[in-house]
Amino acid sequence: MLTRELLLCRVRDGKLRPSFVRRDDPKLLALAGELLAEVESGQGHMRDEVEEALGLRAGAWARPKVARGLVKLLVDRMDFDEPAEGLAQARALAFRQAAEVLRGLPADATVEDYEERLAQALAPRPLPEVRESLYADLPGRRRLRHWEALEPATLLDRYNLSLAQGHLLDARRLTLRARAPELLRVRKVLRWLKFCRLVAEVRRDGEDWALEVEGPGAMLSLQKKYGLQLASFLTVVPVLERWELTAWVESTRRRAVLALDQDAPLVSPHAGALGHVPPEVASLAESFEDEEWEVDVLPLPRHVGPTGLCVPDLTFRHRKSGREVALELFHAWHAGPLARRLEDLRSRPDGGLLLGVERSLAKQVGKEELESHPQVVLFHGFPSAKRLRARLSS
Amino acid sequence: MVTELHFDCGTLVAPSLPEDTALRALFQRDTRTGVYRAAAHRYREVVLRLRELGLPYEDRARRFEPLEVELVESLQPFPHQQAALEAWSRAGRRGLVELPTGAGKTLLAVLAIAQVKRPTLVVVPTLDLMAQWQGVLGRHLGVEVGMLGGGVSDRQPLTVTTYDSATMQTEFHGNRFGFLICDECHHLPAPSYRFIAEGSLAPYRLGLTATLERTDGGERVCEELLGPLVHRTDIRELQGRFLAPYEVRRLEVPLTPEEQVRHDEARARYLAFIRQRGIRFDVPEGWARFLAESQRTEEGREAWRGYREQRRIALTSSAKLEALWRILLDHREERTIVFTDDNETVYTLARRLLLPALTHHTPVPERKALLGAFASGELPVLLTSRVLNEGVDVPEARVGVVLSGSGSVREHVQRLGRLLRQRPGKRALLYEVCSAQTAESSISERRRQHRAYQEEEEEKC
Repeated sequence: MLTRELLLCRVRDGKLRPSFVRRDDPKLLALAGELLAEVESGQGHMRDEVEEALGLRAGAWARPKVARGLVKLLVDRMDFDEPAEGLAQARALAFRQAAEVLRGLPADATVEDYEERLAQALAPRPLPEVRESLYADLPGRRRLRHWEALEPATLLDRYNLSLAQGHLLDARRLTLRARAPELLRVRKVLRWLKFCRLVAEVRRDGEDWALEVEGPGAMLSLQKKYGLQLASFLTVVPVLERWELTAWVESTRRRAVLALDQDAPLVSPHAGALGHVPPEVASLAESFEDEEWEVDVLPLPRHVGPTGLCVPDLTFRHRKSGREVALELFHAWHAGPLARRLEDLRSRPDGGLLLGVERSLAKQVGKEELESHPQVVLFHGFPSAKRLRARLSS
Repeated sequence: MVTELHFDCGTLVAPSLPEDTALRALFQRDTRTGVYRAAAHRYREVVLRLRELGLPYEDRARRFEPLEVELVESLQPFPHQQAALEAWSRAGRRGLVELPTGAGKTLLAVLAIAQVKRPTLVVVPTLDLMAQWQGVLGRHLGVEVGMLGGGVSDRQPLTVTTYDSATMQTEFHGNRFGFLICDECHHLPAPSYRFIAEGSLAPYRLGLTATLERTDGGERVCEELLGPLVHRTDIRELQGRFLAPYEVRRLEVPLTPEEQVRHDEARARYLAFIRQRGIRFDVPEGWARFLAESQRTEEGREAWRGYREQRRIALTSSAKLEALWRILLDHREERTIVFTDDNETVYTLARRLLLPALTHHTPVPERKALLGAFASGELPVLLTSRVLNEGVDVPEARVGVVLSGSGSVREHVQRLGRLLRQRPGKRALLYEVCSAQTAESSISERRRQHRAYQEEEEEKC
């Protein structure tokens, strides 16, 4: 993460725009390459030396704050060795010897007298050597052992993301609009929302989604800002292909609106695994035919129980009334989540949620409870369309 | 319908509430999630109101039960400790106690924990204090005491943590403790720390400090979150009886002519820059503005170097080193703590004189060992920047040397407090060494604006 003084941005008409760098800027790529090479050659060197070398390169760059930002991200990815054993003991011994010398001095002794007696007491180790090694285990004296290697372009990507994240640390909430997102992408974003312990008011507007994202206590006059969680949430946003994000940024220095969209050069580190739609869900969505109900595989998340968030697998929508009933599936390995969801429903009933539960879970959770639960549909393999239709009609 | 209470990341949640205006006023309707939500610190009022109404409720928020905890041996509190404990109990076991450093705040907390008998979280400012509190609680209450912070993550029914760690952890453990103690609670009003008390359910609360008053009026935040000021004892009421008598000596030392020239040149460079830019340090943004503007131009960078140079000369002048040396030699049979403003000076002195340094870089085991060796007299001198400013118990120290520091009155009072633990025949002595004709003189004037400093003698050397 970039520190506050490295967050370059422009503010105009109350809108804050981070000063992103171009990931294909040849000069910046060259600088990133030089910094990476500097770190590579700094392996085994002291932290102070590595940081000084990087700092000199950064200082010489035309835009030193950009360069220092890159350096900060690199230093965050470095591992330094642990202090050598015995240093603390050697230090303690030197201090005890020095204390003895101090106590034995006459009342008119000078610093030079003290140093002379000190040198005698420490012999055969020369006093300058003892001084030099006295605090060799301070953080700045530790040696670079390992670092997370990056490509120059990846370092610039991390820089841009950190630049936007840094401003979100001062935000209390953000609004995200996703334009016609794919199912798996929106699911990924919603799951990340849950992972970040944030809550959201989610609306669908045709094919678009709007999320008002904030921390649980943001509605109260708590001091907690949830900035770290919001910054963490941002890392998944670029997974969406077309999006707009706004956030009120409030620090002691300024108030402004951070505005970002898909044109911002942000690259998500989580873009790799989007997951998949289980074939049986896709099959049910294709084959489900009913005069009264239609299936939607892009379901809205539901806040359930006192604190839970459910991202259902499917939503059935009544063609005439528009009433929605969501279906969340629990397979054999979901005993814990099922118990929590049943507890959520006990605490706060939600007639708009059906739980599809694989029969094998009945042994763990309780057959009678599941069979008699008005919102549970038991199944083998996958709930049949017939059974679901029957439950929706009841 | 039974009202259910849940804990959610530092907030109190009720899926439904009875029709009671007073109760509903404590919550807000959360339109995002469809529940009622309140700050966790409202828990006590909510439960008391539900009990008052005689309505059934299911408490799924609280994750603590009464704790069997007793004093290992009975403690005879001092009169001021007894008075503080009684006042706090009368206030419903919520409130703030202001006692001078060395007056036994930790033992007061031990007595309070034994009285409340609930899992307790003690929040302290530094890792040294965390280790010290752990030792004292364990010794007097005979139970395992956990620590959260400084790389240690061991939560127990009695746990000590730092403000920084508690800020990160409150949303996870804010429902695990029934008693919240904030040591040096004048830190709590900082925006990032308030959530420690806001996000905790703890119905019982105790704030301890030697200096509650803040220049920004933040003491009101302490009162709102921990309870009212229930007891206060002034430093002068205890001096000589429960605290050691003390004396403050100010030594103003000159720079050498060569140092003075370099100092004045450097200072002129930086002053010219801030005057030209209209930068003022008596406004909140002044320092940040100087930092920002000084990095933008070569002239600014030169001013920044000038600022650093004049400061370095004033902090580490040869006359200061000589004055320090004379003090150390005069008191070589006694325990002396030397305070400086920055780590660089600490380590420079440590290498030069081979004296032990205690800074935030010092690992916890070495801190313990250094404080132990200092207590036993094996090591008669400790050099430190700011980590010993607050709370850490160094009863054997009689002499303190403030070699450099900020203009903060609190910092100065806290440093004096390190020396005031009572011992038979002890008379504490605090030297303040500052460079004459430098900015240090006015900084020194600012920090001595406390009643504890109104009786002192000044020496020039």
